[in-house]
Amino acid sequence: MAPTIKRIIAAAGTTALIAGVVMVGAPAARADGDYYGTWTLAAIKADGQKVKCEESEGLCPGGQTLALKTNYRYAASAYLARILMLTDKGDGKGSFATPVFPGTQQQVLVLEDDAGGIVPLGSAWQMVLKDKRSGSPTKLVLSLQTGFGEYTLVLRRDAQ
Amino acid sequence: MTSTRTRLISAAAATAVIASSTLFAAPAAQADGGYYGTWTLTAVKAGEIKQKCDGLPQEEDKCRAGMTLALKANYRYVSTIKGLEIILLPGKGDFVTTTMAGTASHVIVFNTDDYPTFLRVWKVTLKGTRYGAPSKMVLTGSFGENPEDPSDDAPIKLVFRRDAK
Repeated sequence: MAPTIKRIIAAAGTTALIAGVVMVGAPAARADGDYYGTWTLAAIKADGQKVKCEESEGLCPGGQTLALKTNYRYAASAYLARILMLTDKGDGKGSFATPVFPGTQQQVLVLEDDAGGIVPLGSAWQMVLKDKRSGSPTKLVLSLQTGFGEYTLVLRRDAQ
Repeated sequence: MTSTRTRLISAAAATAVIASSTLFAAPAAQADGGYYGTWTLTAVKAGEIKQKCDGLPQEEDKCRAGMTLALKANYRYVSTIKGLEIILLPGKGDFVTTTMAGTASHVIVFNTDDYPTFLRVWKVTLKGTRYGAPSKMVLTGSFGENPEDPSDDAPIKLVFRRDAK
């Protein structure tokens, strides 16, 4: 397990496996393109505990971004890249895709890192876009059950 | 070696180290539907370590024979594969395939019914298509670099044969 996630798990005080996962409702499919843009990591939730990403450094530093480009390329800040891929390998750049499960309409963000490739445990996150009242969504929520706990990354569009 | 890798490799009882593992060609994008059917796991490879799946049912420390992954036309899957729970949970669920626009990598994403965000994704390569449907499927992934041992950058491969016995 990557040290980053280890620290998050330790901070959240969780040792439980996947026995008591909070059920997350299946998101509705979104029109292609709503997710384009630069998103800033605002918070990480792990097993019911939330850590805001607003410090200059520490457990979750502020200013970590994920850019999803129209040419299906992504770029993530170093810290966020390590969390997304659950590994220390990779340069935070690569290709992405957003398939939708035909049965559940659950949308997935799949990341293929230029250096690390596909990581079975960390390359696919459930993706939900929220707060679309005034046009483009302003909130992107990524969730993944790692087997060591469920992690939710809350990102805001161009948040500062 | 990371704990995840340690458990995976020990679960698969990958004790045999092969000096020269077979290299697989880079995957080509496959036409949708070539992966449908029931696939039998024949081998698990983690780096230079290979474990054939020919163990007896009572041999819990080995990769057992007869474990299958069924991919259905309605995008549902059923897996009887045990010992790799952290990267492929046994049971039923949904799957979807897509091709990465930038790299043309063909990937398959699994989502178990039991836990809605237990998503696992693999690069998929189909082979043996000369006489119709592919007869071999290889799921490939990486654990990334182990910061405690940079040389330990083990890719993992799950090798399947269609309806192999």
